[in-house]
Amino acid sequence: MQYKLEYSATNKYAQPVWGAYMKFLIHPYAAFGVQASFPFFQTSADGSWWTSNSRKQEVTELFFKTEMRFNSLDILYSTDVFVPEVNPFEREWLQVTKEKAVLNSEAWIVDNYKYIFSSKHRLKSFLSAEEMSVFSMPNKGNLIEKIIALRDQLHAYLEFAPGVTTTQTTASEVMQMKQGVCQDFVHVFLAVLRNNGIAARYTSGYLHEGKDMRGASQLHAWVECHVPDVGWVGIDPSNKLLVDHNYVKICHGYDYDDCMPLRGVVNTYALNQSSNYQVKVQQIQ
Amino acid sequence: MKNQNLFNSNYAPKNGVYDEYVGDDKIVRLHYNALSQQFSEYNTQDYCKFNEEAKIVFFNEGITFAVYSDNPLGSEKIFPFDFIPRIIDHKEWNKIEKGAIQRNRAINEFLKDLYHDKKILKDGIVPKELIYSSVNMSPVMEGFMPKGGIYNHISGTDLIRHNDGEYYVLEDNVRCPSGVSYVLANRNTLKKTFPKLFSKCQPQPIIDYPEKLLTMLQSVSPGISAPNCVVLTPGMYNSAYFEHSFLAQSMGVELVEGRDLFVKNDVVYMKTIHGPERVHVIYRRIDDPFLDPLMFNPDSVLGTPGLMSAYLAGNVTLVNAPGTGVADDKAVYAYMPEIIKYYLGEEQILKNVPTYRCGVDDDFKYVMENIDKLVVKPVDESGGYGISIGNTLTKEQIEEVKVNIKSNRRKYIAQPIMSLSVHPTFIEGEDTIEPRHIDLRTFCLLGKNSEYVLPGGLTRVALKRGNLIVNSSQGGGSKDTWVI
Amino acid sequence: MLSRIANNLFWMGRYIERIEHTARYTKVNYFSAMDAPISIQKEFVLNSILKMNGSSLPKKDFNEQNVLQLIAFDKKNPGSIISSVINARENARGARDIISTELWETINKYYHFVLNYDQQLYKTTGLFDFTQNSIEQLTIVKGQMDATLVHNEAWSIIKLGLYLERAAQILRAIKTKMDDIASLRLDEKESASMLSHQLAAMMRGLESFDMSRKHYRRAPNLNDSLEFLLLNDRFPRSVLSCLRKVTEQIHVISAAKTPSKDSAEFLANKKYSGLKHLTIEEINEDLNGFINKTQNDIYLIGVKLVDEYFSF
Repeated sequence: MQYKLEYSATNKYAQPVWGAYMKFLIHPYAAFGVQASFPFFQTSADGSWWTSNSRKQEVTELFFKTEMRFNSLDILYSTDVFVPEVNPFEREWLQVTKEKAVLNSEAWIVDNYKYIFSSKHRLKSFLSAEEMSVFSMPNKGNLIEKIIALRDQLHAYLEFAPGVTTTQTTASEVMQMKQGVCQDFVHVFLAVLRNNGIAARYTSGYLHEGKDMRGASQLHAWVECHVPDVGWVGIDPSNKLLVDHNYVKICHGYDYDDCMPLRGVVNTYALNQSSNYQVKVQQIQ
Repeated sequence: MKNQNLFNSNYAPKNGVYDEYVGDDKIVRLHYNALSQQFSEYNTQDYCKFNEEAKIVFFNEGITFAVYSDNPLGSEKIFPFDFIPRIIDHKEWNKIEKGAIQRNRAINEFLKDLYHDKKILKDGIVPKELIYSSVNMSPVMEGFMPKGGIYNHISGTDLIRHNDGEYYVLEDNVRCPSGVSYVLANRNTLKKTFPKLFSKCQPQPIIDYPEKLLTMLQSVSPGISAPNCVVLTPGMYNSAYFEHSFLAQSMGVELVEGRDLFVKNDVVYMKTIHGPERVHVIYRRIDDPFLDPLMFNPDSVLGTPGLMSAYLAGNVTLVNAPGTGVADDKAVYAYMPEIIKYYLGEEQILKNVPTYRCGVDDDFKYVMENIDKLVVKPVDESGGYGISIGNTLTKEQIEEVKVNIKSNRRKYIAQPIMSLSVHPTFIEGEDTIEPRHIDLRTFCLLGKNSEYVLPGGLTRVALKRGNLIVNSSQGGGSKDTWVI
Repeated sequence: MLSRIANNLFWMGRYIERIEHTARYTKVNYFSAMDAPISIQKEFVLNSILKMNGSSLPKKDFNEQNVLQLIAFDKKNPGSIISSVINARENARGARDIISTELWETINKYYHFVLNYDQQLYKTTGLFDFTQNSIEQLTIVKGQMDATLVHNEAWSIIKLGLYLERAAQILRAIKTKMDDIASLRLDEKESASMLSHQLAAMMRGLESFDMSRKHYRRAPNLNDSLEFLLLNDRFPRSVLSCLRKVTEQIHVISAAKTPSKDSAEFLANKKYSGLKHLTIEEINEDLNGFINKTQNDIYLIGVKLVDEYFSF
């Protein structure tokens, strides 16, 4: 599949800004045959921009630096990306007992511990045992089946509702409201998976529009779980799906904070700013 | 010399503690003989004079620091200096030196392992929950190899001497250990105050520390032969600003703040009047969370946006590396003997104080039943804050401590109340010489293929009678330390 | 040298020079008013002092104590002595590891002097003591600059700030005094001794009276005074001499073979060579216009310097 991805944003500031330094995580993750063209990047303020792969070879960070004065900043990014077709169901899952042996080995646990551990310092994806008691993982079956079961429970439990939460909302708050958008679904799912000893990570990316799916004109979030012998498998709790070639990954991390599409520093006296962005994913062939 | 009038005053050694100056038999220890002879010529007036002279030297040179206390304005004070040097025999020092190097090398291997293969966790020597529950465990460092394989280039190992005469490590400091500038300032002052005694004793020199520090920094530069090294300071309102500025000056390198640097194409530059100049090595005295607002704490104005990207690209070296804090966590301290054994195959040369981790059930039970006999410390505070010493607490205070521990067990460790050795110290105001508790901070430099421990280090003294907390931020003072 | 540190040093030089001129002008004009040939209204002197300082007071607050307080101790007045010394010391502190201990200590000492000075005393009987002490201490500060700093880039940048500010202050003093003279009553204006008195106040306020008298071998008239203050290249307190030193110090920093047309160095050189060959007669054809234009150019040189070298 060939897509044209577009990310556009407008940042407005209550007082003039003189100089800004920004980092974008919006370029496709380069692995498993995914190939993106060199980014097109344009801003309304004169400055310089460059890319960096220092965080991880597959992750491309995009930096922008300007010394101009402005009250609002328009940003436009686009790229063409090739995503190999993939059928997520056509995978060879490891046999249950063999899988269990790997999952219980100290080597596996330690190597994946950073995505199994429930950190009290990262409240966005933290739930107490009591809060998670509505979900229960089946005893039988192999890992992917268990994950899918949990996914479906979650999808039934939470209601997709934009405008109710923000990027600061914690999993605990989501469970109280029983509503949220894709990243909220993901945060709750991560807490549940990790509590059951499953290595799971937050993944951000683009979702191909043109299908009746939630999360199409904003960046999307889903979960990747580490399945022995297979690798990191993508599961979308908001849409109750397995990730396939309709999804273009950008990066992964422990929770939303590791994958923020834009982080920036500006010189200003303004305490208020508004930031609006939108995303377009067009299939080219 | 038996029964001399010590210091021409009634210096009365305390019972039950190790006195550095005199033994239990009231005989001056051998390595203090020269000092004893010299001081037998002085009287109280002389002592007052020495004290004043030293203060003037410090004041004129502006060797001050800020004290954080209940007073919201804080205050600038001269770092109290006691003119009676602490002397260590070179045979004893050899052991301390070897022990410090051993310990810090082991910590370095430990950090390398934690951020790569995690063998020590897989072998169950150190619990993984402990490591990952530490705020200082830095996910961005995962899989990254710093230049030369060195994480804790500069380590401050704090030692005490217990009443059994042995040195024990109180804690490791491998993030931004401070105090070395006072070591150099103290030596400078004492040279001027007691030149005769100085030349008689000939303590091992420390004057080349800045040179050794610079050599170490240059040895971990990415590439080129004449690297540009800088000292990164949070600015002049930081309590240790004097030290940052002093070290930069002594090494002949630029002192910069976060706003003097910028990153472009993953390379760090400093803003000079002639345009941008590339920076290769940064001796950063800013803690991890404040280094880069685009990677860590977004509210930090102290750091440089994009710095971590440049670091991970291998284009700039940070000294010490980010993420070292997971090793100087006081709960990890308890595993140091095992850590040394695991990586170096050796028994630890410097002893650990027995440590109980409140996060572990058996230890927790013991601690709850014995608070009055223990020192309880939060694992992640520095500067001596939040510590409770069991035998000084009232019944109510003990209950308070129990409540604190129960609310967050992982946060607390407890150790038996160690006896810190005492040393003759001049008490201003009372104009007497009395024993006061001291400890020792040693400074160790690990470079590519090189190791150096500053001979002596910073002896910190608790100026209040009976006080065991010696940190500068709580009103402690320091002494010059001689290895002879 | 870091741009930020260079900025600190430049402004430190400017603030120190600024204080000295404020103190001296105030002292000289206040006390010389007492033995003027025709009695001068207090109001006249106070207005002159305010004008020199670039500050003002609403009519209802206009009295001697308030004026003196405003130009010396009002922290809300950016041009007051206290504001300038606070800034100068902060700048020195930020560049502490670059400047010498002696220089830091003298600035610090003067800073504490101003902050601890009895303001009540100053407003009533202490004006002379305060201003005279200020002048003397700042002379020591400037002496330390020359005697204890290596004459490298750091020193050049401080001197750059110092000379640029001096040129600006000289022009300010001239302009203020010309306005004073213009505002005199007709009978006062026609009095030769009155004019002479005002000129002497101007010259003394710029520490130039004795030297100009020696130079011209007579009590200076208007032409002589202006010529001395504007065009005498060998007198350290003339605009021309300051401009020359500004070009020299900029060149130390820029080391440019041919400065570009819109650079600070180019503008400074242009002003200097232009002024060097100007005569007082030509200047007098439009004195006001000349002063305004020169003040503007000096301001522009300052802006360009900050832009080219000291911005970060």
